[in-house]
Amino acid sequence: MIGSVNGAPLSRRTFVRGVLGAAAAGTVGAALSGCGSDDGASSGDGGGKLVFWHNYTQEARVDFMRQVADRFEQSHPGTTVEIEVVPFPQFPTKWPAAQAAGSLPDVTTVLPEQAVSMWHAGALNPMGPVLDELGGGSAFIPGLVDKIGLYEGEHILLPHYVHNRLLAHRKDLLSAAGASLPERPTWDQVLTAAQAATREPDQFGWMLKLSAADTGGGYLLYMLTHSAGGRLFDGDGKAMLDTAEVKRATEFLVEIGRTASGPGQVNYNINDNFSLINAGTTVLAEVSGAEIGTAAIEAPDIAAQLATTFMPTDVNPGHLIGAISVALPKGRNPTLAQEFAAFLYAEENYVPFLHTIPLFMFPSLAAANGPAFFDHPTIAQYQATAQQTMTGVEEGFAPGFEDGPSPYAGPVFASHAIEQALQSILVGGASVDGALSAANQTLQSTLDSVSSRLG
Amino acid sequence: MATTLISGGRSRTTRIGAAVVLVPLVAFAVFPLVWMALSSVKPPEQLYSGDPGWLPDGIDWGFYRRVLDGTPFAEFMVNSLVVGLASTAIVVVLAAMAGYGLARGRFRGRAVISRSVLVAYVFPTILFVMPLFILVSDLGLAGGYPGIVLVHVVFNFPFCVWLMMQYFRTLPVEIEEAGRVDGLSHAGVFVRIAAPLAAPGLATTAIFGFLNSWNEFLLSFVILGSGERRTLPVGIYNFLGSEVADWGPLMAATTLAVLPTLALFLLVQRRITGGLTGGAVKG
Amino acid sequence: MSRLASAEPAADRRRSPQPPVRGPSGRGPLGRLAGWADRRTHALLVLPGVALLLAVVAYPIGFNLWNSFTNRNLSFPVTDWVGLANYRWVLEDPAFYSAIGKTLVWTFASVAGQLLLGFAGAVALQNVRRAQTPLRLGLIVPWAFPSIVLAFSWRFMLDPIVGVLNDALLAVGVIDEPLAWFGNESTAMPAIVVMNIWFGFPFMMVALLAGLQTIPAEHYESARVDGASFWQELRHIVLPALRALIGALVVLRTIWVFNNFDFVYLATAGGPAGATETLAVYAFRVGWTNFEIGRMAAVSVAMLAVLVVIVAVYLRVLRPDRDEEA
Repeated sequence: MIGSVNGAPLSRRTFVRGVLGAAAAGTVGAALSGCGSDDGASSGDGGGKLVFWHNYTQEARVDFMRQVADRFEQSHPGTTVEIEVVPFPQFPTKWPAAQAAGSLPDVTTVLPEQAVSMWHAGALNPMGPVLDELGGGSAFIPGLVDKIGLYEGEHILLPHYVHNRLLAHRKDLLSAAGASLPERPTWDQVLTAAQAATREPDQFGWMLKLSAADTGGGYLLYMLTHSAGGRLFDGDGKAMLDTAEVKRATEFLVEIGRTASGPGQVNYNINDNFSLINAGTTVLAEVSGAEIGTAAIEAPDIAAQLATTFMPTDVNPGHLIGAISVALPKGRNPTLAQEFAAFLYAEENYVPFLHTIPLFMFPSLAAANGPAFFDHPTIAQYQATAQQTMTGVEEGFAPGFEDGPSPYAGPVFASHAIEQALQSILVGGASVDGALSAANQTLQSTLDSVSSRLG
Repeated sequence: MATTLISGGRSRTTRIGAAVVLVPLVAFAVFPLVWMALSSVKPPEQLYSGDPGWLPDGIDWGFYRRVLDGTPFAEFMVNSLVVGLASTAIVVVLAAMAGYGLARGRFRGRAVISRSVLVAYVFPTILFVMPLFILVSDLGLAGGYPGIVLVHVVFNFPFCVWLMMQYFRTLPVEIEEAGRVDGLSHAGVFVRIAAPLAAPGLATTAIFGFLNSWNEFLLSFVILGSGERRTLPVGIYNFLGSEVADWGPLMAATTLAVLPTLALFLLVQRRITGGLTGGAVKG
Repeated sequence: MSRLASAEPAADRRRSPQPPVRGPSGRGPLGRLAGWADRRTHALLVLPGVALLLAVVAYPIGFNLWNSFTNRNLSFPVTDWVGLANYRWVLEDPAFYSAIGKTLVWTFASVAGQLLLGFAGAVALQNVRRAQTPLRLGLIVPWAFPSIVLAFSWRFMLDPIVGVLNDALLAVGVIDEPLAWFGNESTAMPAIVVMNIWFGFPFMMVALLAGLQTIPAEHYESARVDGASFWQELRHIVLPALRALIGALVVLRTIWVFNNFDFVYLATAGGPAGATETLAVYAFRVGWTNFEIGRMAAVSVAMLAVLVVIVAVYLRVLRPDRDEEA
């Protein structure tokens, strides 16, 4: 899989031709459907201002995106690109205000589950023209574009980059505990390893991160439920937290929480992972690769001790795709927006961007799924991690998207019913059944209110 | 001379009592900053290790370099300073005027007015964000300084008015009456006599307005935006709001953000205790 | 004692609002205008700020009131009038009532703590002669902290594993094992209250310090002639003189803390298991997270009702916006 597309080796040159020779030359816009002007230099309505929101907060990515914008300005004289950095936790505050005030950006990065409700609100333009320009769905990892972005017959977003949740472990601490994990560990193997590696009070096998400030708990239960062959809700908007699979997954998490995780587990967020792993507070952690990439830069000694396996496997491997995507809000400059979105995938803008923080981002473009990306020294060093990631991206789903993009997924995770249930079991003394049935009710009412509005 | 509570002549017991209160209180107050400053100069391996200890194993300015070189930190500061100073200047003037009018005026509806200014606080800020942004956008002020200055003025105004109202009330009326006898208009009394006498109140109000504006996140983030004009808290938030919480640079940036406000306090704090008596003697 | 009582702030002197002598008055039309303006100076001074405030907040308030009767949701383009449905939903939700209780604890404990420490700090500062400036500077540090960072730094300090507080408490033997202060049902609320007191007491202190300056020296002097103790001075001179200021501070802080969202949300997100879910956090969870603007507005109106009751009681008891009565 790595170093090839559908088994065929791929060179840098193919990448250019195959994907975006046109975009690299800065003329992609002229060809985009709906563009009025055939004046390649300043297409659309004669340049103008383009507003781009992205959630890439680290300086390396901020700087790179600014360079992309500068290049775009150069190839589109008269155009200015204004960038706003909108960190994910604040996206839900900024977006509604902009939507209500009619000042949406022209291009934004977005999570797939958020994009569906934006689409319903009528706030997004379709991505079809950009996808066509890039060469259609086959330009991306097989099946990816449809399973995360094809909704009601339209492509509402395109993945900018992807990752898959993996189970990372500290090799030093795990072997010191006399434990080990195969590449596809079962639930029991993970539980045993986590328990063995727990050395209270400052080292825990698998510190859970169940704060209701993010969706870490919800994602975790999703992965395990998926692994057990179940679902959190079905395609018709029925909550399924009362099913046997969800119950098993919950019991597993509770067992980890009680015997291999520590105090404070109800306060930690996903982005605390890096500190927890580095401090050796947790020996195992569900990661996206970002944590390893950051460690490779900031704490190389620790990074050298990190390895990954797939998430615990029962009936299925517990994949979960993260697909940070590009969408086109109804801004002021839709034509330019399409050109800019395509420009993000141009050769000089794509793989070099993924390499700004190696292991943080993995390619969504098929043509980039090759040596140009994987030969980077840091990535080559973690070949297994990269391979597991790409496998998961092909096999797995974005959270709650088993049937493709779902209008329910966003609300389910945003309701935090799952984090609340796990907290009430682990610190509130509730029973698994009681907590799940309460959560199921909350979830059902959330889903019902979505259903009624979809009408 | 000085109108301090039990200044001078008070017993040693009181002074010891004061120390007994102040020492732990100051320790409580400064500890987080000291700890943060210490952490911010720890080498990354130490900071991110499981047992970072209290003192740094040697000073490492790496996190500061990352903040100062990696982000337009100076620009954040300038943005915050512009917004903070402009909104403070405006709100202090407006609040002093209104506070004086409410404290000394005899017109009907004073109580209603002084209470109705509290409407700015009736809902959590997050509920105000969206409609305010709509309003500011419609006025064409979104994304620039005037919009956020306006909003900061409005949200600091009620608190500032109430503070100023109290300080004006505590001033002895006779001094102002003497000004009237000397032929000053009401406005003259306010500008020449009452406002200078209320200097401690004005200083307190100014500190309040400035710190609120300097540290405000949500409205700045939405109204001023997170592009080139972003203020310090919005800039700093990037270290927290990412996929990986970046403690080192966050603590360096916070330490840097706190220092200017402390310097400013140092400049104005004498006003808080130096106002009334000096003025009263002159009056 | 009787002398002390009469040494209370000169309320009687402040009773005569009208100056005995009229200010300047003119004869021409301009002069008449100036005279008219002069007589209305106080009202005119109030006007600009209040008008600006009302102009800016009128729309947001109307917007929320209106939305509370609709099913407005930003994820869906159509908004319908739903009457009282949002209110019914809120009033039928047990979590709403639990959040009221949490909010009262959070608010009263925080404000009381802030006031107490602020007052103690201000009075103590008055009684030290040396190192005034560094002491004051030290005491306002919490106030200078960016509030968005505040909760995160407290979480780090109180962390059960790498946190410095547990380290210190273990070292001196106050606790036997590290505690997850924010992660424990019984300690989460006290922990966020302490955090909020830490943040808020410096402002109280500075405001009271400024208030203390306005108490005329002769009040103390006459008290001292009477041989009043420190506590008697505090009770009979300082507290009466600062009563209105304290009232104002308490009212304003109460409203601010009541509606505060960031501190609680960033420290505990309302957890664990709802132990710190105040009304503002509750409103966010049931409304904002899924863009249910209508429902969130209804929660806020209900919050407003609770707040109005509290503030009305305060205004009656503390009378911060009235002139003193004997």
